[in-house]
Amino acid sequence: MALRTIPPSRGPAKTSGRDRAERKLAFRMTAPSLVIMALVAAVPIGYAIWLSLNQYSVRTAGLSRFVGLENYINALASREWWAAFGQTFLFAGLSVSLELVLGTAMALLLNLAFKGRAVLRTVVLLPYAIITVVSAITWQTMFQPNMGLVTNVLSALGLPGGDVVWLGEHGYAMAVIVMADVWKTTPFAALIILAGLQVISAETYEAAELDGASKWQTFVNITLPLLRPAIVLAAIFRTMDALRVFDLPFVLTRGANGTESMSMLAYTQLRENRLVGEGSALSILTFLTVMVVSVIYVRFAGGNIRDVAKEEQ
Amino acid sequence: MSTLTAERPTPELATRAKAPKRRLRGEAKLHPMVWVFVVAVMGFSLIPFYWLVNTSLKKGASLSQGELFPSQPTLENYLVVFQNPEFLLALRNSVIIAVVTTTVALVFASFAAYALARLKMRRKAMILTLILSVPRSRPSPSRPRCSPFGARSGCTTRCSASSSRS
Repeated sequence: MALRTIPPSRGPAKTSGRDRAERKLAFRMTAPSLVIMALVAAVPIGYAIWLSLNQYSVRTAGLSRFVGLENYINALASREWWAAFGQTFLFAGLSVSLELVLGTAMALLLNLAFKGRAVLRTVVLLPYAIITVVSAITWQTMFQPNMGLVTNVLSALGLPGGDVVWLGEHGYAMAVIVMADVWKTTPFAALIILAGLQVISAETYEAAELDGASKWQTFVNITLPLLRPAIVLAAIFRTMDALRVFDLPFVLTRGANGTESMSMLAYTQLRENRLVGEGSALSILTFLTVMVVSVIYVRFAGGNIRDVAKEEQ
Repeated sequence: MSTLTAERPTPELATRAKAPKRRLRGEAKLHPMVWVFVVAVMGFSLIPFYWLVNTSLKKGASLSQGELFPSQPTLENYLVVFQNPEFLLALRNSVIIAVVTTTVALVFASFAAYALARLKMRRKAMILTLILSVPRSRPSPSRPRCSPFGARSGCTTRCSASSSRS
């Protein structure tokens, strides 16, 4: 798709024996991963697709009939799906952009040589080490009226927000969900970006300094362009996770006040309402949404990664 | 993670490369602003964590009083956790899963990564797209194959815990 497999400069001598041997080796090296992925990912997805094409009796276990795409049609015609769709994208857009900006800043900070850098690196990783469900409960108690850390501090300082029922209103609830996600996963973005930062050679900066570039110019013209592959990679991973968000709204709001995500809606239909067919259709729709977004990203990033690889050689 | 180093200078360059590197990474220049930022990042990372620890040291009525410092700190909650045989079982399971999945993923992925990065191969873009997107876009509710109705298996929380990010 995005990557051209054969570099154009290689020209006509492309089907030599050595090339063929190389392709064979490449195939042998990727095949085990693809087989494992097929087993752990494709089989459950296939099963979910099969489930989504049937309707299941709520009363008698095991009783089902094939309904084709009816579940999908119902889902796509429902207001709940489109509401969840919009909310999930709102959440992903807000949290991923915040995470990338903060993650880049954090990575630049972690890359500086100063006393206490090791301590900072450890501290910054702490949120990432905490299970999402637990961190969601922590954020919930922090924003609880009258007994939460944030609400109490805001009231004590006389700032607005102290008497707000944060999780009881759409805007505020979404803000808490985004904050909890940013808190937990910014370190992840920062780590990927930090790895990208450490690949940039010191000579490039030396050259910029000799040319009299200011710090800001150096950042905009050297650091950012060379960091782009790392930032795009962080964006891919974070967006795909954010679009599948489940634990945060599940714990914080249970989907109330219009904060239900696509995954949550699928879960509710599948598990709580026992609508196995419709729930599966919803989860396949979620899967397709994420797939489409990720294919767009990889197309965009694929060319980028290729350019960088070319420059290296 | 902290051992990621930018580059390994060749022996004859080692002495020369050190000096400009230090200068470039700017030790003394931006200090006041950078330190403000360091403190902000530390605070942002630590405050919710502090609240978690704070809550874990409380019990009974003080849980709902919202004190910034526990007035009667107690380690009882931790004692209860470590006396619970299910916790030790869960801990063992988590360790097994972590070790096995990390090993399997690293071994197989390094072969695939090498081939994708360094070798010529057919349909590289398609394979790369599949590898990057499929595992991370799997529908979450269909993944945990445990029943939330079976409370005895104790996997209700695991279902939600494992769904957004494993």
